[in-house]
Amino acid sequence: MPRIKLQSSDNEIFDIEVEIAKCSVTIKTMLEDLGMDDEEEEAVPLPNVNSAILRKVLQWATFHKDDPPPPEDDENKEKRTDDISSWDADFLKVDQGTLFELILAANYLDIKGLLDVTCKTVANMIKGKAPEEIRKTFNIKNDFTASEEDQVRKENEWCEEK
Amino acid sequence: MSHKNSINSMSNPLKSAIDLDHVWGDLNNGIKQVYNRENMSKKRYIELYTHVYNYCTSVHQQQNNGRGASNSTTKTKKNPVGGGGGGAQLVGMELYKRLKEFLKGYLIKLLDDGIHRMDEDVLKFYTVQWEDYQFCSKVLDGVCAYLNRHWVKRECEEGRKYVYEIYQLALVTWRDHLFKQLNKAVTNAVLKLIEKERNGETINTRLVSGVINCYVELGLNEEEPGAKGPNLNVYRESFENVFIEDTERFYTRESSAFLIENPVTEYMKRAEQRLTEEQRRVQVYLHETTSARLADCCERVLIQKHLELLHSEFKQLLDGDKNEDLGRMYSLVARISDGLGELRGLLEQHIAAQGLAAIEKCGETAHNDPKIYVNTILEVHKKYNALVLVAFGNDSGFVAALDKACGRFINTNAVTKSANSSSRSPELLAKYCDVLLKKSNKNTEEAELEDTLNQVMVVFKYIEDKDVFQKFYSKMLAKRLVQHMSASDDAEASMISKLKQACGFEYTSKLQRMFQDIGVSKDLNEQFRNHMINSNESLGIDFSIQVLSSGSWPFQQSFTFGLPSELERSVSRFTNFYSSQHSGRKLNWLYNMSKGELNTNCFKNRYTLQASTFQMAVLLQFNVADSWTLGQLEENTQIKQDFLVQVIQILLKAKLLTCEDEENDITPLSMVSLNLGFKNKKLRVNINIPMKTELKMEQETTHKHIEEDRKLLIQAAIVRIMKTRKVHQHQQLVAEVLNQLSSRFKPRVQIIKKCIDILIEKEYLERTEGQKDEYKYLA
Amino acid sequence: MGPTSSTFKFLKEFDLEENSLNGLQIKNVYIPEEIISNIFTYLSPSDILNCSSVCKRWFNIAKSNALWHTIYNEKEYPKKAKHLPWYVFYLYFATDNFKNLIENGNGQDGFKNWTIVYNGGDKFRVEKIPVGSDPLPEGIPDFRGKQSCFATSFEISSKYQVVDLKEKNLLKYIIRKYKPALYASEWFAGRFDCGCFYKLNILCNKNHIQPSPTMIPDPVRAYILAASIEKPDPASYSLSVEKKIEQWAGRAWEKVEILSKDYPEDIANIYFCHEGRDTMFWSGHYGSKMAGGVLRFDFDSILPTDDDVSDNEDDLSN
Repeated sequence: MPRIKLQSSDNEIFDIEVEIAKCSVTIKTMLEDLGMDDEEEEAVPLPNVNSAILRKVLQWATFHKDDPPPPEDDENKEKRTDDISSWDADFLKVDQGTLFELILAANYLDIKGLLDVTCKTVANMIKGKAPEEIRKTFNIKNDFTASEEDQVRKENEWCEEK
Repeated sequence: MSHKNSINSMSNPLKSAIDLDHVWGDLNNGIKQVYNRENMSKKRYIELYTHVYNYCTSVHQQQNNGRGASNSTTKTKKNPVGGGGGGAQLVGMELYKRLKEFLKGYLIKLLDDGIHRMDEDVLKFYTVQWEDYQFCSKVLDGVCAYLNRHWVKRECEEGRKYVYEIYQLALVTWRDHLFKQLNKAVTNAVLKLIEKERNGETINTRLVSGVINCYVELGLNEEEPGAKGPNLNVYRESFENVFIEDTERFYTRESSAFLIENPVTEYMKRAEQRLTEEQRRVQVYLHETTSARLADCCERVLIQKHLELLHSEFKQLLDGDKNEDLGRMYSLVARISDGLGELRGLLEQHIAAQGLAAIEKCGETAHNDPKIYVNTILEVHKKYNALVLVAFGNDSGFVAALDKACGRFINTNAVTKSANSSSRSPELLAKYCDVLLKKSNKNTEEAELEDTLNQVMVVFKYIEDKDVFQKFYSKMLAKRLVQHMSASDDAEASMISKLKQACGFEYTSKLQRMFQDIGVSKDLNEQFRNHMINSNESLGIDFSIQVLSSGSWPFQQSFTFGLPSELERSVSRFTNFYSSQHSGRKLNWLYNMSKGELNTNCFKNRYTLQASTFQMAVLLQFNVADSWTLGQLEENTQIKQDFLVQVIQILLKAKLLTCEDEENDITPLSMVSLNLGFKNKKLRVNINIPMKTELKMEQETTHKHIEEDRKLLIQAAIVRIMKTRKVHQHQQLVAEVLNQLSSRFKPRVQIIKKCIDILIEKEYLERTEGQKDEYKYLA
Repeated sequence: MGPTSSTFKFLKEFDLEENSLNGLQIKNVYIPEEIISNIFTYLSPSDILNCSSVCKRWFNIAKSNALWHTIYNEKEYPKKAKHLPWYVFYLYFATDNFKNLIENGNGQDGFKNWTIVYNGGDKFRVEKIPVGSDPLPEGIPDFRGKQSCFATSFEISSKYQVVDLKEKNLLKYIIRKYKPALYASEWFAGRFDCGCFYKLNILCNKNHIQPSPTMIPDPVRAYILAASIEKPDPASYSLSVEKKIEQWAGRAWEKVEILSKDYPEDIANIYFCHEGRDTMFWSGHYGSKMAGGVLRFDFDSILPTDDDVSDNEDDLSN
């Protein structure tokens, strides 16, 4: 099994199987473009991911390394948010900060499966909530003026069929 | 140090907008590094990727072009959220534009270096540069993956034209700034190289395939950026079209020149080789889709254009039995649509002519020797069957030509012409069967016989007058059966089943019936013998009989005569016995078919004479007296005089009787005496030789019967057709009759007309009043 | 309530303060806009509308055409979204207007949602499985997985279902702006042993009026109907298809379809009316059968207006 070294932003080195690293399309593309040298000892630095998050990402990637590749050209599936596997649900029982950092890492490293499941988790936190509750959940400021807020509410009501 | 632009850690909440200039400096260096083919470490690659990522994910600048319709400014009032292309636009445009500029600059510089090159030089330049550029652009695409994934994707989804993923952008830029300027020179150089190879030189095929790969890759689906894979527009327009024209020109010239100096057979070898070469060319360095077009072009130039020449050569090859060349010609001409029709026609004529010539060559012998006749036919068939099979791949059109030709020369040839009847062929074939199936000292092995019978069936297939064959065959089979002359029951059965397979149950039903009668008769004789023993009677002679059902057998009762008293008892006893078993059945005795054995006591040796019934009747008279006049014999035997004369003549010839008059001058007063000095080497003497008149009569009646039967079959067919049609035109009626009877024989139109007249007379049909040539069925 | 569809104006994109990270910075983590957008694709249309009330940044994302185009392209792959504003797609996903507005089309809930105009002969009835004709063809979405149908009798029976546009502000707005084609269809069949008549009639009115049976009655029974035939409202717009099945020619299910672009744009309600009877005047239910009615606006007939297309064409072509 060929291995590769990844280096987090805080300079921790992770020595892992290449197959697991290839979960990241970014790394996979890089290896395809540059080729794999067996000799190479130098670690690949990932300046946008810290060690805590990279550890989580690699944990996820190790568990999912044998997943079948996502079917291509099959996007007309109803996007569901209730199909998160129990392992993933447990894995994502983390504080919100970590959850969003995982999203960022998945986005940076281009790991579609992880991005999907983390975004779904956030979507589930939004579903059915009133705007004020959402603001509270995510620490968002209401930057509408009172009249702007009223206009938006009216527009939304006007659009909805009862 | 590339970490100089320290990147905000993600956990840093205040990620401010990143100005493009902030990252571009280092990114630009990195991209130059890529296109200079400098060694690129993974670390550097990720650094560049991260620059792009950081830029694209930075917070949007309201003042960015095309972005941000504000509720407050007049400029954007026209642009509500739901209106035009407003709404969330992502960061990327500026970076995209700079990448584009970079690629353009790189290629314009490259063009300077390439523009004045020619031939192989330009090819080397173009392919080397292309491969480098393609590789570098893939790396650039990887580095810019985040831009592709979000900004480019969004722009394309929103329907913006001329935005591509970075690799595509690189291709488009190559196409616009390098390909457009160089492609004519490059394509020309490629064509020159291919011509060199066609002329036998070894070339560097990598130069060609490199260019082809590039042209294929450049076929972009600009209308539909999302569509997968390149289309082949560039390849087609800039290479394939000119390549095909070039090919056509090359082979037009080559084939004409070659034919001036070489025979057609050599040309065919050359053409075959060229076609293979061109297909290999596609495999080695062209795009697979060119295969069909190239083959089409080569076939047109190499084969179609010389088709007349090939056709005229075909005849000569047939005459010379050049099977290998014939096969080559077939496989060449088969590539051309409608090319084979002419060859089929020529083949048919040739086989028919060969068949006719072969039969003619046999001369007189073939007329009367069925074996020579049939084998001559078979040899011709075998030869050309093999030709069709091997050289023409058993092509159905050629099989049909063989069949047509065989049908022609088998049914009409020198033998049938001299007999003035097409039924001569089936007659001879039936006779050949008789030769094969009759007991003789030359009888062949069972397996070999079966094989020969199969050969007979080959000829049988082509016989038009299958009814004639049936008549003769059944006649001869009947004789074999009643005279116990069959060589093998198995062979007989096998032949009948072959006929049945070829013509159906009806065709052989009478033949099978004959077999049954023979079997039944065996048992009947046994029963009769037991009956005689049980009733304590003795006939004084050995007696056996065959009961043949009338209608199935081709025998006729000739005439009656005074049955000798020595036989009368047996006949009447059997008649009684039979009618007691089958009341209501009538036995007619075929004395002309019967025979017996006489033991002599009057000669020096005790001879056994095998004789016909009539001979017996005459000879038994000499138990009473040694001499009789012809008149007396006629009175005693009641055999008609002219017939009796023939009987006597045979006995005179056998030297059993003597006469003072000449054999041919016998009168009722001629005295005939027993030749007491009769001598023969054998003790068993067969004097039962068929009489001339009998033989001749037989053949005539057979032919006459055939004519009669045919008339009945035709009439039956007419009635069948008219019964369903009720009213019918003459022409159509004739056509349908011909069609219905074609498997049996080919009725002459004259005869059909006659049969229609007969049916009108018999009031089955009438002519429709006022309508010309139309008949009506009368129920 | 609120402005009518003719006076309504959609809000424009909100202007944002320079370098404002509100809405992108969540729990101290900066989330790029494309990720917020991606999260929204997992939400229902009404949740997305809800999100637009959270803050200006989210409003701009939630009501961006791009978001809704992405949702459409993903759900309807391989179809591609036309260049239409976000609310057209919102209406497409949030309501049945472009799917099917007819309810209880197979009589699975008896005569619920239907108003009976005339119930002649032995009256309408629901057959759990079609009697005397083929079963409903399989795999047709129009039947919503049901196997039942309505059956008519020896005199005319007629009923309708009405779609009221009063509460459908957005639909009316879209009708005014894009005039999508109106589509109606239904399946019908006869019994194998009896001929029948069938008629589908679509009425568009500005006011509420009750449809009346309009099938041409045969002379014997003309008097029965004479009383109930009213003059149609001159303002109404009607489209119909009539079918006759000859005796012994029935049994197979057939689909009738109506497609119209010329309905009046100020319609208040749409009637989906069907009627049927037999040709033989036989006691029992020998008349036409119907099931799987569909009434909808045709989404594919909506084309971008000049206004929609006037895009920011940038000079990326050379």
